[in-house]
Amino acid sequence: MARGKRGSLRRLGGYMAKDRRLAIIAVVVMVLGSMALAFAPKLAGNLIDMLTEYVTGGYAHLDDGFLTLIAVIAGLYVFGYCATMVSNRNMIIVSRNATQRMRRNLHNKLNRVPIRFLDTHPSGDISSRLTNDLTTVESLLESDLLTLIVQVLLIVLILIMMFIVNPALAIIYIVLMPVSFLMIRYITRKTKKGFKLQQSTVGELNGFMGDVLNNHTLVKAYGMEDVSEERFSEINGRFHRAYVRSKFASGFIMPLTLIINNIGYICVSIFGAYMIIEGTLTLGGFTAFLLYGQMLSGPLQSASSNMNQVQSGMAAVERLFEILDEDEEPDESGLPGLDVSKVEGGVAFRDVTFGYVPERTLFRDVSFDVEPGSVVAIVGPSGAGKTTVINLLMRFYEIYGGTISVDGADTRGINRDALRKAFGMVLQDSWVFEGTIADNIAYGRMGATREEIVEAARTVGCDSIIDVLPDGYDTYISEENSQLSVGEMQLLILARAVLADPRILILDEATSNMDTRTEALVTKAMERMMEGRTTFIIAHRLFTIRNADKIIFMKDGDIKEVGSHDQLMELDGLYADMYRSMSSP
Amino acid sequence: MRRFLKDYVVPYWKQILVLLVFVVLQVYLQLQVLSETHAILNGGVANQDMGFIKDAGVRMILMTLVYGLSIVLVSYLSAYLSASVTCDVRRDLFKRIMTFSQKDFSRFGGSTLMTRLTADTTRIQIFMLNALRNALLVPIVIVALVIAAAMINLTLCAVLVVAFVVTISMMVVKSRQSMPMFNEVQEELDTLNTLVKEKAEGARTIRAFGRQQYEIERFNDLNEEFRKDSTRAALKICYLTPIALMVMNLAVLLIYYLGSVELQERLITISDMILFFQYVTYFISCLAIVPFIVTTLPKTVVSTARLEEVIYYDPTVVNDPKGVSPSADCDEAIVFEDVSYGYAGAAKDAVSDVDITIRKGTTTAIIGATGSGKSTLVQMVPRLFDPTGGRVLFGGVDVRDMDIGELRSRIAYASQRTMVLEDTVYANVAMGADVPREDVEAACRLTMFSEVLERMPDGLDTVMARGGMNVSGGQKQRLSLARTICRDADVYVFDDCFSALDAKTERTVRENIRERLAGKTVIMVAQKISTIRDADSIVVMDKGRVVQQGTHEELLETCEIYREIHATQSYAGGGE
Repeated sequence: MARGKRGSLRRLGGYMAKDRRLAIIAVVVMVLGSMALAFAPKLAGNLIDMLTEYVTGGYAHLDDGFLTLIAVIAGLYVFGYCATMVSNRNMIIVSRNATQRMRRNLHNKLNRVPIRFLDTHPSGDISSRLTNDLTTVESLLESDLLTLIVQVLLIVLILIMMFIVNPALAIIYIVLMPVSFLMIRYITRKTKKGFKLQQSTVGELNGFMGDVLNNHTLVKAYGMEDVSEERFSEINGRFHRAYVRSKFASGFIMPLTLIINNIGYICVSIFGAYMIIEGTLTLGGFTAFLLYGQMLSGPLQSASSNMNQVQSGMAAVERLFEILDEDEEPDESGLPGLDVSKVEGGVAFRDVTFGYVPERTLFRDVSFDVEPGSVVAIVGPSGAGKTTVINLLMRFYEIYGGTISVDGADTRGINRDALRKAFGMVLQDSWVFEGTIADNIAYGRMGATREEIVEAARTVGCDSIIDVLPDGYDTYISEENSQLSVGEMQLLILARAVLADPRILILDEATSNMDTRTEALVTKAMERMMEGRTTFIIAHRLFTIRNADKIIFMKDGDIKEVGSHDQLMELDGLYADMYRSMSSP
Repeated sequence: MRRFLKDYVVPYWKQILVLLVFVVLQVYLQLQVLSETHAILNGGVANQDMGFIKDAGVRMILMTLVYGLSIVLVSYLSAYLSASVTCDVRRDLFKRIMTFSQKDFSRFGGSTLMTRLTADTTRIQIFMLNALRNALLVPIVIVALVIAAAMINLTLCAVLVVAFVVTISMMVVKSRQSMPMFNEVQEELDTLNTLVKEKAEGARTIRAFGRQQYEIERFNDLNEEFRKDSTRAALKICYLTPIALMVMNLAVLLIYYLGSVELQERLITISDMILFFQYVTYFISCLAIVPFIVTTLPKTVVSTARLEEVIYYDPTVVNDPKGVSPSADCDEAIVFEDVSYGYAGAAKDAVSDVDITIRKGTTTAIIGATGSGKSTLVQMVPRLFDPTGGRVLFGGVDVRDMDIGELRSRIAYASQRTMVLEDTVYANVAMGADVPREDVEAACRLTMFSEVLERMPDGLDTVMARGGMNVSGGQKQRLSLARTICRDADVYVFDDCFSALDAKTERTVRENIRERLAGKTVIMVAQKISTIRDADSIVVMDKGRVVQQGTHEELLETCEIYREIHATQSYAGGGE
């Protein structure tokens, strides 16, 4: 894999490969257009010379070429600006297409990376990377990169033209240009500290505001509004100062370049005037020079900030490629599938060794068998890593050693997607997506009819909840804005699982955020679903635990004890301890 | 928009005026420098007067220095103004949000309020900075150039005016057309990003159902739509600047052509024409800001509207003290009198016709299912909500007639959602009050947070992570309880805040709290009967109404719903 800036640039080029023609035309046209625009002032100078002759000749004879020359210059301008338009247009198309491809690939990537990646990268980070970095890349491709090239090209072309018109006057700019460039560099460097301070103050301000918003009720109930406002004003004020300071410092760039530019202009005016008197410069040459001087100021002023933009654009590109270079789950399309209808639901762990990080092994040689149709309760204090077993069953994480098998077949020999279809999973953090309630239930089985959806909802007992909503099954819900409570949401997810009708169930019994009646509904629905299915349940209720066929007791990430309730009570170990403390009044 | 400008921009009219003066000065000086060249050509070169040229050079340098100085001032003032305006806006936004009731708050939602406080204010700031620093120049240069040109030659000035009108009207028309397009594109981008976040969070479910391909296709459709629309919007304005520049340059050529005729009639000189040429070049250099304005203006307008929505929102709970205080000898600590509450747009009231009297010094519990309205009800005591019907009396006085600050200072409220400030443990318990450290420690001991505290590196001075991420849910609840009992109040409200504690801890903590709050009025909202069975009085609520009120034993005998709840809990972990 190509690394570093050059590698990134080449790969970025790959994203434009399909639009290569558009991009090449854009560059070629831009170069030609710049040349036309750089040439025009020289000809405009000639125009002035013709007019001068006309005047000194007592208005007797205006050069025949006058009108032709005007037409030629007009042609140059029209060509130059049309070229700019074509190039702008092409690059807009190229950049949008390239970012679309990149966004698509990134999204595909997110569906292919191991769950580990998503577990270790907050979703907010990922989404902001895709947002901000892609926007930066879009602007890099659309204009930043090309503008930088054009600006450098224009500076060179204008200097060449200046030498052609008058080498002596050109020296003035040759001297002034590096001075101006260095000064801009100097200021930019100086402003970095101020900018950093501004950024960190913004961070502090946002952090504080977020904290207060999150704890809104608390702040109000304890009458902390004044204290909060005071602290807010203090940070807000500091931000004001940091911002003004930072912007003021960088605000020096513009006046400085303008002053330097004006100095060049003044020098040209004065020396040019001498030269005209001496007869070494024509009025036309003088005019052309003044125009070139003014033309230079644009690129000089923005080249530096443009360079920064290109730099941050390249950094964004590299960050995005970093995601694109993440390892994917290996392709298993060649592996055999699993006929879900024939799955009986026997599960076996044989000498399973696993750890989330290689340095810390959690499971070592764990073995146990689960009969088809039996219930396994996963039990342990909070933070014991009870979801690890689920992660392994579903192959969200891969084991280091040993085997996990379903109906005697090693799960690593089965196509991952097919394997997962044998399982139905209802976890505590019920995931709903933005869409209707019907859509969300139907996620369990593609193409489920409305009747089937309603039937599934009835099975888990959430039909009555849905029926009273104004739009019924067509009510829109989303993670952030839902009219349903946590318990009701979990019922929805259960209905989703009912629709999928899996042989093996994975349930999370956590009901701490539910009221008793919803909890009773959820519990009843879960019990109904468990009938005839192999079930792994993260259990909290003594009733569930006692009645499980097998109990897996976990602590500190490891499986400590496995067995039936009676076996474990006899063992008189950690489980027995916990059971006694839970059941004692 | 008008009100916003009046409130936040107009107050700075003095600074804006100063800024305007310096922008005008800047333009004047630049034009003056250009016309000095004109003078050099006319006075110096024509008369071969070296002295004149030298003097002109000196004048130009002096003017350039003042010119530079005025740009520095403009850039300072624009930074100052944009920062001041946005800081004012942010401050008022924050203040307004502080007055929001629970209802107002959930109307907007925490995340959009945060976006308004951050992204929207920043957008205004950036726009203002550039508008004041660069865009303001454009109209002033236009006016100045028209005046300067008119003083030289009217025909050529007319050409210039026509060119200005053409370019400016084209820009205005096109940017107006593209504004809604840019809004749409922005919305599509937001949707794409929400989608990415949503899918990253749901990765396990998506994979469990093997829906990757389906998700990919759905995303690609949206992505394609976004590409089309964003290309269309960008193309709409990408021609603007080149066309404007072309028009201006062609106008110059027209000036040459017409000039060649006027030259003969001695209406103009060649140096005048050179000056015209330079005027136009100067104008062109000012146009560089236009694409920025065109693309950001629509977004800024939207942001401003979003800010106005919050800043000028009338909160539903207002502090309107009537100068009354609760009487000390009133035996009824809190009375709900025919209280109802309905969420806007909801068909049914969340709380209807509730009548409860809570005697001073007693413990009253409220129990019921989710949606029974119990939490909404108790939040009306510290006026996090105001009832839509009936009234709440505090010590015999309607809570709405009291000063809201005084009211809240007499209540210690522990919310259902445990909250932890990103501050020290001490600050989290003391909550801005001047409480001795020993008292804070004692409170922590009673709620068994001291167990956690012992393991913290800096004890009471340990800073809690945002949202209390460095402790577990149960530990957060212990901290929240410590905060509540540490407060010296008349009434203590516990809104279902024992749920994350294990049975043993809960029992101990509850016992400690009962001792500590002996003789105080306590309201306890709960879902578990075990939490509240010892209460002096238990109110059972269902679907927003009071079903029955009585002691545990009474209710067990007579209240069906209470029995039902009791039955479902009798075999559950942590039960009796």
